[in-house]
Amino acid sequence: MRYAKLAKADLPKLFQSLKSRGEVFAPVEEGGKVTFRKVDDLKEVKLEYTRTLLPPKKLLLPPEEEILRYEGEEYRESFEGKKAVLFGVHHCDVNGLLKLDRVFLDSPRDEYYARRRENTLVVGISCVPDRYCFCTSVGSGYATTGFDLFLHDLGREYLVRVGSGEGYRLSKEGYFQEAGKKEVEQAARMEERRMGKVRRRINLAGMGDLIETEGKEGWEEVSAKCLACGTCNLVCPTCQCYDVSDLLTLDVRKGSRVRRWDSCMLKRHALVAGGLNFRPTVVERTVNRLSCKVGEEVRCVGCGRCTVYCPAGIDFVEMLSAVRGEAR
Amino acid sequence: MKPKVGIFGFTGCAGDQLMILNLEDELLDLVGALDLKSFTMASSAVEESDYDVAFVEGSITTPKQKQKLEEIRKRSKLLVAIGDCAAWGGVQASCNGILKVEEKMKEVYGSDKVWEIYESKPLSAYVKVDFVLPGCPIEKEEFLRAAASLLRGDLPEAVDYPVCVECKLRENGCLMLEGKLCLGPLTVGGCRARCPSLGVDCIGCRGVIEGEARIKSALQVFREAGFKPDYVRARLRMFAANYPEILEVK
Amino acid sequence: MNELLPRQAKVLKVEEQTPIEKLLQLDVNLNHRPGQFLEVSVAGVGEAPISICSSPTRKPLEVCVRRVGRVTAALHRLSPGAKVGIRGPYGNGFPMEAMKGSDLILISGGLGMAPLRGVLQYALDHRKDYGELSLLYGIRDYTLMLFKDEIMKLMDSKECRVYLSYEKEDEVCKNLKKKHPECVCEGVVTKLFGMVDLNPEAYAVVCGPPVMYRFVFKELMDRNFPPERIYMTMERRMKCGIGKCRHCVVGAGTSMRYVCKDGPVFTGVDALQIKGLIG
Repeated sequence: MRYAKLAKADLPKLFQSLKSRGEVFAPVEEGGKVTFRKVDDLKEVKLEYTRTLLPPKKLLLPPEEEILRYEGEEYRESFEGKKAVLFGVHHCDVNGLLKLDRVFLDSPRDEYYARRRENTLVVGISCVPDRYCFCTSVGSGYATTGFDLFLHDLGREYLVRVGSGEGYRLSKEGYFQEAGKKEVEQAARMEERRMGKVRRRINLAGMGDLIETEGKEGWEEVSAKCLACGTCNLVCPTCQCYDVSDLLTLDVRKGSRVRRWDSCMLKRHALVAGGLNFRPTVVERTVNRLSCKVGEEVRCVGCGRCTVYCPAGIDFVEMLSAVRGEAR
Repeated sequence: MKPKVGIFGFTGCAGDQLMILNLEDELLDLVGALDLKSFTMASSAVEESDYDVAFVEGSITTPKQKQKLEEIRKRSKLLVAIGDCAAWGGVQASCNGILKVEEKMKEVYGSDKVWEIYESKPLSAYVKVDFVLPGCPIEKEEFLRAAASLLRGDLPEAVDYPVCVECKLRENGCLMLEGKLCLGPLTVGGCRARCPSLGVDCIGCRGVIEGEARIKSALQVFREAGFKPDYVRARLRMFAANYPEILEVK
Repeated sequence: MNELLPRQAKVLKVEEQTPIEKLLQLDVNLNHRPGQFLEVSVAGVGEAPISICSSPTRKPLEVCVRRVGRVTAALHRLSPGAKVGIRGPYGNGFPMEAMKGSDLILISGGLGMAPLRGVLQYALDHRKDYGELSLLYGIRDYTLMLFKDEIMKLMDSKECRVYLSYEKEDEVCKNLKKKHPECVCEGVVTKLFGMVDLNPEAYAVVCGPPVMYRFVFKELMDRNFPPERIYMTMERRMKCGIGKCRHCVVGAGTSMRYVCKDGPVFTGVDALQIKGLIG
């Protein structure tokens, strides 16, 4: 890893340089929530924040996107190769992107995601945890790769970790300074303090097996209040599911094929033509969701979004504790 | 040959037919793409015809309506219910199971024998409905997309996910978490979360997701949030009183 | 290459197989394996996974489509000359190479005959590479039987032993039973096990409606048939076909698989490992 130092006073210079590389999307506070939005000025950016409503995934895999256009039976791909910058991404969300990379860049890769990923610079920044964060117990409390630059707040300056060739070129710009062991030590202490604020713990030992053997009654209990609204999936930085629809125009020849984020908690997720649903109730869907997040492998990055935004107040960590047989 | 289409209305405010008339930009394309045989609201001319597609608005509340609906069904290859009245019985069904129609009539007209009327029911209570375009009123985009599919002879893709999906895709905060009684989680999406996006809690005008809406869970969540049972019941009944699980809510 | 972009294929021939199933010949050259599937598009309606029902040794490629949903209804409307969009072939398919030298017992129910027909054709076209061939086929009644002519011809040949079960007796079935009482019976497909000599060195290749697997699997296990030698192909909602959209995922806890990518063919061992794979 290459390290550099950036005085906070020089952050606007970095921002300008990023802007020359593409549209900058950064956390912005609006109406009591923080969201990634296109920004023109660093002043709009909320540098210290806890979590955005939707994860930065939305810029690489848009909530809704046209993937094809057709005329008759002839299909053409729809793609805009815009350059972009994701500025101010937290450790957990960078790790979330890495988990998505493993799905969408795996052969055969998803061209839409892959091209956007290639066209997007990622600049990380350390976060402000709250009581819902548990990134440190799912191994996502620190990002070691998946970014071009990562900014660690040292008070008056940032230690900048450089994670890519483009990041290297940026770090060679005049307003960056050399950084060494001293700054890295400072950053490590800062990170230790920051991670210390992540108090929530989740015990995943044997979790997959616990999920597999949990009985129907147990599942009914943990999902009793579930409204099957899909929010938990839609705000998740690692949910990959999408659904596809064809839209037809009135000339009945032309139209487009669009994909939209999907949720495994919804009716149609495992429904096949003819009416058979392989996951007919929230019980099977909850088993599937938890298996996907923490059973088969750890896909959860501990951002806390599914708990924070669940309209029924279902707590992901408590759900898993219940499956473990605790808090019953 | 252009598909033959009829647009009909029964008990309701005719808001869905109005929505079709209000298409403006697309109305000419639409009318050009089909052979419009009847459009109750736009023209009094009604041709005795068979239809490839019949769009039917309104709920069924009289024997005469029932008879006419059955006639439309017989003449139509595809029958599409448009709007909440046709889909669920509408607001006029909100007292179903609580107040008898005779009592209602007596209250309004002073006698319970003015006309023979039925409790407001959706079209599906009387005939086979091939497709439902829900909403109060229907969504323009959804109507046009469905119309395109229907004109080609394909059944459109029905929306079977809740309003919450489109609400989250638009990155709205959750109104339930802000202390509002929002029916989004129970209600058929497709409106792009029109109301919640303006900060207004969903009133459920697109009806509940059949066989799917978690009414019992919602009742528990609403109760725990401090909403009075009468209020919750009235809200649930407003547009989907004929849904069996809602009809049972005390 | 954009894996989500369909290429066009012309429909060469449409043949009604049953009142609900049509056979479509497509003008495409694919080097597929029996048991693989295609994502077939009808623009404006959508895309659906359809298994290939012909062997790569036979041209043109064929798919058998049951009318169950929007896309399949649209496919049923097509006439020769029409175009469809296709992606694939996807999935692992049956391990025809690994099964060489062994007897094959094909067990199918209903539309499950479609992917197995590819296996059957492949084995018939490489007849010397395989031992005895048996086909156990369960149908509801004769009208719903797929590939009638082909199967009737096989019944009278020595290439493959055909066993047929039917749930609803009609004239044809009645006469067939009279003519071949040793290999035709009334009942579900598992009833045919009583007529077959199950060689544990054989491979069992299974495809049928979702409810069938559990019963066939139990029957095979009760007869000490090794689960490693059972191959079953599964139906799920394979929307993308390439392991991204995750609709087809099966299993729970530590064992999860994509049917589109890790399957659709799974072994009997998978059935023991993956919760819910066979219900």
